[in-house]
Amino acid sequence: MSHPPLLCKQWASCPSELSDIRKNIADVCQPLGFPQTDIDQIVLAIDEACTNIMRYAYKGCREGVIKIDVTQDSQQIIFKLHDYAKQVPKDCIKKKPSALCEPGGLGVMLMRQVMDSVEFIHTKDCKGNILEMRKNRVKGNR
Amino acid sequence: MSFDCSDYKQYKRLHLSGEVDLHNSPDVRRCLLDILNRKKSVIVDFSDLTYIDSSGMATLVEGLNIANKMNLTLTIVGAKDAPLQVLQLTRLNQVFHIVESLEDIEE
Repeated sequence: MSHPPLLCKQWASCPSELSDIRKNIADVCQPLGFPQTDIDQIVLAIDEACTNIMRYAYKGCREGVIKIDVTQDSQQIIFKLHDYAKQVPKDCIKKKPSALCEPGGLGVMLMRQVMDSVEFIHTKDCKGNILEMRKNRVKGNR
Repeated sequence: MSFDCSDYKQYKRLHLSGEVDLHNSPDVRRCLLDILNRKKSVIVDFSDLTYIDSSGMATLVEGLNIANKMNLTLTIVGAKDAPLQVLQLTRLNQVFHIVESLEDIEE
């Protein structure tokens, strides 16, 4: 059975938009029955993904667009973040260095810890980058 | 987000309120580095902080590295809820000196 989208909205690639993005994601997750800890972590993962898009895909340009689609199936909530910047090679995604107090890579580390899957999708007919993140629904959720 | 800097014992206390993210972490960074440049150990007070992301944490990691090089200290106080989760998820709770309240700060 297909479900209607939970959210389809776009924002400017400007750091001042992050607060509104977080509020929208929290509002989407609230009625889905996730515990507050999970909601906080999902919001964090989306914020980290948007921060990376602003810093590395758009390289600080505030006139780009970040589109976020949230859908669900019976098993998972699916977040797709679409930007329209130059495609980022998948192997450029920074991994956290082994020493915790070295800078860089914290955002990707958080996204991977919080979400059940994190995947960068490149399609030939699609300009930009799509980051798809999935979070398993908790048993008994709507 | 707002922050203010005050004296506490021999330390400078950087009190953060609200949400720290990419939008305002550069302001926090400037303030933190200014304190350290004045050769003061710093207490970063999280008690009124409701959110911090990796850009904020990276700022604190940078501050900690500088503090260590200068034989100063950087202590986090009052972390709870979402900010505490971030410290745990990143395992930076193993790196920072973290105490529950200002009363736990040693002279």
